[in-house]
Parts: sequence; C-alpha cells; structure tokens
Amino acid sequence: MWKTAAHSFMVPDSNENSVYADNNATSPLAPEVWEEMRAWFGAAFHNASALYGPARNAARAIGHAREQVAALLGLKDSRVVVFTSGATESNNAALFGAARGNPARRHVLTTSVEHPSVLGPCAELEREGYAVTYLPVDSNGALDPARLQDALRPDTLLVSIMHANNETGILFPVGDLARLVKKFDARILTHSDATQSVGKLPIRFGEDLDHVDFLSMSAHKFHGPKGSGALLIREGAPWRPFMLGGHQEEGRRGGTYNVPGIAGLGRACELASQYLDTHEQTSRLRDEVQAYITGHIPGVWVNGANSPRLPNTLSVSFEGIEGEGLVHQLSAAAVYISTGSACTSGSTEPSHVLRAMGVPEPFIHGSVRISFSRYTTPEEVGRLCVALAVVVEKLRRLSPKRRGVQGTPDVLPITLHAGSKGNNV
Amino acid sequence: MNMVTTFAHLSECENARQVLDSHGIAYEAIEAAPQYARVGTAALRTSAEGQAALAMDPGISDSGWVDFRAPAQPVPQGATDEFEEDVFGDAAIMVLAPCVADLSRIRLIAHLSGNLAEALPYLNAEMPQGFFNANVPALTFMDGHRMVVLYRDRVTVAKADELVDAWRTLDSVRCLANSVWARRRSIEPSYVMRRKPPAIEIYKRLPGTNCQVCGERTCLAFAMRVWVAESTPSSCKPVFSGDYAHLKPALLEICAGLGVLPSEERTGERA
Repeated sequence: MWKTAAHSFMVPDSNENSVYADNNATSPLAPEVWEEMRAWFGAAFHNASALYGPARNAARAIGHAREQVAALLGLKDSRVVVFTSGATESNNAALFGAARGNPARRHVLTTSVEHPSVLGPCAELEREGYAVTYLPVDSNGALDPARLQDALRPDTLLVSIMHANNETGILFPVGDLARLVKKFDARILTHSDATQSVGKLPIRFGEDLDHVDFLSMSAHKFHGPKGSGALLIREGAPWRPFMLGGHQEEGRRGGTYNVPGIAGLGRACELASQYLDTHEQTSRLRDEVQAYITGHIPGVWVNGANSPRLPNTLSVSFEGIEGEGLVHQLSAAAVYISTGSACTSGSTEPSHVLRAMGVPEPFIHGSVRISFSRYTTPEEVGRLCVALAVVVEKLRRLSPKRRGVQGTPDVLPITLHAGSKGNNV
Repeated sequence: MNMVTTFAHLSECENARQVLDSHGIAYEAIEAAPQYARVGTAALRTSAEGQAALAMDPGISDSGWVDFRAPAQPVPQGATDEFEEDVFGDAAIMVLAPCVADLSRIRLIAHLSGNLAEALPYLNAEMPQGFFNANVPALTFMDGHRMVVLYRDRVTVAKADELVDAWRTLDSVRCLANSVWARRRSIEPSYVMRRKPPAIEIYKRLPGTNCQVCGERTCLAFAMRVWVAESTPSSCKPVFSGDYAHLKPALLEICAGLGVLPSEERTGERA
C-alpha cells in the first residue's frame, strides 16, 4: 500500500525481544482501544454534530466516552469533561482560559518543575504583563506548602501544580495544596496537570482533588491514542474558551469531534479502571529494578527515592557517564529508555527538574528515566537490569575520566542479551 | 556512505572496522590525527547498511551517528600543540548526535582525562563574553556559531558543522585551557557568575506579532536565532524602528551578555 520513501520508516520494530520502558513518553495502544477506534475510522465516519442517524451514533459514542472518563475519575457529572487534542491543549486552555475569565487578576503561581506545556503559557502570560511565581522544590522534589502560602497574593489568578512529575514520577499533594489555596482566597482558581498520573493511579477529581478547578489529562500516556485528551472544568469556574469555533462541547471547545480519538480515550479509561490493581505489580517491578541497580552497580543516585512516586517511574543517575550515551547503547541492545528531558536548543544542559532537586554534578549528566506499564513483564525487567549493568560498566571503562567510580568491577559476571532469570532481579 | 560515527576509544574503532571488513561493507576512515589526535580517535563513514551491521553487534560501542557532511577544512598535517602542564589531557567523544534545533549540525559530549576545575576561574577572567556558573562549575561560550560548555572533566559542543569542525573546536578549547593555565600567574581569577538568559526571556521582550520582517516565521523562532548568536536583536524592525520601540531597552539589556550586539548597540539606547 505504501509506495513512497516513507515506507522505510513504517516498518514496525520486529525485535520481539525488545524492552520498552519509556511509557512516560508514550505508551502502546491497548488492543481493546484499537478495536474500539477502528469502527469510527471506517464506515462510521460521520460528523457527530450532524442530524442524520449514523451521526447520532457517533454523538452517542462521545457521550459514552464522557461517562467512561467520568467513571475513572469519580465525577458525579460527566459534563465537566471537555475533550481536547491532548494535555498540551488542555494546559494551554486552562491557563489562558482562566486568565481571560478573570481579567482583573494578574498573578500566576506554578512550580519550577512543570512540563513545558505549562511553563510555555506562563512565559507568554509574563510577556503579556502577568506576574508569574515559580516555586522551587527541595532535594526530594517536594514543594514547601509554607512557600506556596507566602507566595499567594490578593491578585493571584491561578495556581497550577502538576500531580506527578514526568521525569521523576514524584507526586505533589495537589488536593492539600489546592485546599490551602482556597482557604486563602476561594476565588483563586486551581489547575493540576495530571497527564502522568491519570490511568496510573486512582484519582478522584471530586474527592481527593476536591478543591481543584481544572485537571488536564492525555489518552496516550495510558494506552489510549495520541492526539486525544481532556480538560476537566469544574462547574461554575470562571473561564473563557480557548479554542473558538463551532458549538461543540457546549461551546467550550470548537472543532469537529475527533470521534475515534474520543472513543479511544473513553475505552482506555475503562480499561485503566479495570486494571487499577496492576499498579501494585508495576510498582513491584520498579522496586526490583531499583534494588538491582543499587545493589549491583556502584555510583548510583535514585532521584526521589524517599518521595511518594508514580508506581511505574524510576529516575536514576549514574556517576561518571552520559545519560544520552547510556540510552544510545541500550537502544543497540533493544532496550528503550529515556534521558527524561530532551535537551533544548542544541544545548546539552541537564534537566531543569533534576537541577531544581540539586542532584550532584558527577551524577546529573548520567540521568535516565525508566517507566513501565501494565504490559511490562518480569522477564523484560530482568533483561533491562542485565543490559543496564553491562552498558554502565562499559561506558565507565571507555571514559578517560580519572576519578573512576570506586568499586566498579572490571568485568561483571553477566553478558548482554542474556535470557531472564527470575532471581536476577 | 552518508552516515558517520566516532568512538570514545581506539579499541572500539578497531573493532568496528573488523566487523565492517568481515561483512564486506564499504567504509572510509577519517583520522583525527595528526593535528587533532588528542581530542578524537577516528570517524567511520559508511552506509545505512554499515550502521545496521554495527548496531546489531553487541560488542561495538559507537558514540552515535550523524549524517555525513564533507569537512570544510581537512585535518591539518601539523603535530598537536603540547603544553608543559596539561590540565585538559585527552578528550574522548562519548556522545555524538544531531543538534535538536538544527538537524544539519552536530553536537557532542567529550570526557577529559584532565581536570579543568582550577583553570575555570582563570578562563572565566579571560572570557568576559562567556557565562560562568561557579556552583557547577561550568563555563559556556560561543565559538562562532558553536556553543561550548566546559565542566570539570567534560566538554560539550553544540552546533558544530561536522565532525572535523567539532575536533577543531575541541582542540582549540584544549589549547586555550592549557595556555590560560600556563599564564595563570598573570591573571586575576574571576568567580563572577554570569548567566545566559533563557531564550524565552528574549522572546518576552519581542512584540509577539509574528510579523516575519526579520525573516523568521515567528517571534519565538527569532528569539532562538538571537539566543544562539545567529541573528542580532536589531533585526527586529518593529522594536528598533517601529511601533514597539518601548521594548528596546529591555531587549538590549537581556541581550547584553549574549555577544551578539554590535558595539554601538551594546552601549544602550542612543535615541
């Protein structure tokens, strides 16, 4: 079917022994989600806003998806769900929409470790004359509630604090922080970017997060499709629409309904509810990797080890090597992990998140992020551990740095591409 | 043969050549020696097939791949410059990759056998156009359009044209560090912190109208160009001779440390 040069890029990874451990970047589509979406790409292609029969089916599918999102997040009323193109749009809509809804207030509070899709709109608001306060985090990645309290102002418009950090997986107690904000001034709006935690942790928008006005989420982080997400907008929150167009989403977000994407998001939410108990297994695998790494590889620093974290995420720094070199060499062994943050603008500066946490200099350049999903198997985790130990040792041996890491054995008694052994991890 | 890689260690390069020989895959070795022997091993230029063959072999650790570009200058024939006291030592390229912002250029990370920690304050004193963070410590400066960051025992180079250009950059940094160290008794070391403003700070001081008069599609793209010293603030006509003149002092202030302002601009607003 594909006759263009693009064909060569479309060959799927045929290596069935590959280990995918970059689920915080994106996750594989669940087969059940794909089944749900297929129909809406085929004969049922109609515009959900049209009036004839097949279009009404599409509209019903959207209503069903809205209920599925509501069920996962414990919403009493599914009308708070506004479908978007993903978390970047949701974050933009929350920040700019809140600003336009409250023109008299000119101050925004956020953290220094937010995703670029929050920091970007904050910078744009600064350019428009808003004051923005970026709260620092400590070496555990935690925010001091007293500093948040002190930074609140009479003209504070919005407080935006992520639920889980994408690089470290560290969780912020968003419910408690939002309560603190509302106690100071109930009219200050609260937003949380929950992109990394929805589908990975049980979240109740109306209970745990009962003082949060806006919540952003994205389908592709929990086995849904890319290009589909939602913004939850609390009933009555003063807010102006960000994407203007047709009357879709009750005038809150213009644009033809992405029926396959929305149906896929809904199904992904339903599956996430069903598989909520697998989080314990995922967390066990993560802890096994952490124990293996700290037990077998010298010169290791686990970021956020003492903090509440996402069950699937491990951020770890290896002394004396380059995280990017590690990712490259592991890729050759068909093990896929991430450095956690793309280096920006051609610079090779380390992650702003780890810098903010004060990770020591000899470690910070050797930082990587390992993120699992409910599809990760103990066998894959075993192969990842073995490959990590071999590659870290080799990279340290190749480096001419004089201050080698103490205790690095010359040769580890394991080989690359070795099969899994349960007791290895 | 449109791909090129390099290695942290000569042994890895030799192994890679053996693998390519055994598969009968064509390649060309580009030697860093003689002039750049202290900062590089050799590079191998080969085909996608050669890259795949090396990637399949678990024994080979290359530093990464970039598209091949013909060097503007060949590696000079002269011997390496040597110094009585060598604080830099040898550099090994641990990471080679395309630049994120400009895929036609390359970036690399090199580890050093030497240690620049004590030399950095002297280098900072000699390079007022650089950006120094004494806490890390790290010294960032531009070599033309290339961005160099010196750490204790590592160097990063971004936006080099191709590998020979990157070797030249690394070797000039080696010579600079060693010659400054040799002259250190006549230099007052400086611990003054200078911070490169983030590109977003430049962007905040632009009109944000995306008028494209500067030749860029957006103000953000223009801010990035200024940030990497590929454009000057005065290319923003609305600020310098238009409706947004009120932004000019703030824009000049934020750009003062970037090394991109002509001298008459650096003195500030004249009008």
